[in-house]
Amino acid sequence: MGGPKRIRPSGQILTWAIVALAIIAYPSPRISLLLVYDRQAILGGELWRLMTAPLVHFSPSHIFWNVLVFGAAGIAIHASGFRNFWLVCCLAATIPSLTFLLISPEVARYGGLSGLATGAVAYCCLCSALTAPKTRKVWLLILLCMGIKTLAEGVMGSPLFAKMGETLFRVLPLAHVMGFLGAFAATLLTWPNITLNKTPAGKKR
Amino acid sequence: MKKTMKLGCGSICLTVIFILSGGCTELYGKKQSRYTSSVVEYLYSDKKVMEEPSIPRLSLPLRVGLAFVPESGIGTVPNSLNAKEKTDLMERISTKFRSLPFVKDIDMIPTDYLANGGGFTNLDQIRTMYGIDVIALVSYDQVQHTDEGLLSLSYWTIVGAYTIEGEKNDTSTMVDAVLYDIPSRKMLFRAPGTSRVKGSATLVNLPEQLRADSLAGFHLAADNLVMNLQVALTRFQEKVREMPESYEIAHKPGYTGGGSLEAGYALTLLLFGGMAIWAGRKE
Repeated sequence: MGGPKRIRPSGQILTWAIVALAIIAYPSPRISLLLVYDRQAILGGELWRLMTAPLVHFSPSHIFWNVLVFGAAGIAIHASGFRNFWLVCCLAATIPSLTFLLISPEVARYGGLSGLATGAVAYCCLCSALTAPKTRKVWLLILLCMGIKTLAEGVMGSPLFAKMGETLFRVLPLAHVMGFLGAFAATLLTWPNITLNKTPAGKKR
Repeated sequence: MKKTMKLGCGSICLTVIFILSGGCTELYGKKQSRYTSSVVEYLYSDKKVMEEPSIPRLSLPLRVGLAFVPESGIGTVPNSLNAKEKTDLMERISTKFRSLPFVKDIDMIPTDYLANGGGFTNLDQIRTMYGIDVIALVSYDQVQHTDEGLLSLSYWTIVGAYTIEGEKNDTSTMVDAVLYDIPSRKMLFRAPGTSRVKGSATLVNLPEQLRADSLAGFHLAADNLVMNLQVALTRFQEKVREMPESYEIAHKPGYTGGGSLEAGYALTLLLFGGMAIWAGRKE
């Protein structure tokens, strides 16, 4: 009865599905063209692109680090039993796309899972800080550092650690800011219900 | 008299044998044909004028032109690609180019617009016509070999030439795409695609089968090129990163943006997140 927590396989379907779709879309130009945020196509009615843009990547390092961080955060969220990760994914996927559509007409195309990855990490930190009093300070510290970095990039309009011109696409820190805010919004929306999916053995909730 | 007649008959027989064997030499034996076009021949045919490349200034996203360089040699080569086949192949290749983050638009330029040995002067004209920044020049080299198998002996029956597939064909194709920045005359990157098609045909059906194999070879090589394009692009991105002094990159409205986590940041997040989870479990 007092054994270790078991990870529910069904809870990880969302994470694995997003990771798998990103990996499948990357080598296929046709799928990428169908899923990428394309301003003209969205204005022409192809609204699914607002949601699917994060699944498209433009270089091997781009997909590798994004998928790695998102996958790790997703697994950690499900392993800890935090609910409503789907909401974080929805908000972190659509808020950046909608923002670019409304305020950045110069962005013709956009893709990348980093907004979702930032949102997932932030959500993991927030939920852990709320539910684990002993490690709360560590989680809040990670969240604070992330917030400072994301905010600084958002204000500067350029990444802190990568040079502009190093990649053949422009790194958009606004995606991280929106992903971060998406995680906060999801936490606020589910505030009374930030409970674990499963009760640790031997304890009553 | 009898001796003279014998000599006459003998010489007629010999002549017939010579004629027949001559015909057989036409029928039997190895045949090879080659269709080729060359970027070097197109760009640098005038050896007196040397184009010095300068530092390319890539203002992203780019408008890219895609064109087949003219065939080497004069006149029409029997199995060379016609305009429709070239357009089909360019469509296949352009799908990949369209998905590249730094490409805004791609224009398919008819080969007729590229003059034999036209070089960069010709490319400047095309740049003005289409408003393109860079051009992907596609060249190819296809070799077709035909050998007779044992079944070709059935051709002696005449019917065999129509029904038995005694001709063995081997078609090797290479399609190569080179991306040039026109103003700076600098080659950005190249990607090759290769294929090999093997087939067989009857003697009568041989030319038709060779044409089909030729086209199939080009399609397979183009698909292979599309796959290799991603590898070439990755290498080019690394080159841009390693040698920032060799390329100037700027972004203009209409660019492609990406949400990207840098390696250092991603590793830091994973490290501290992992440590926090580990600490929590320990408690």
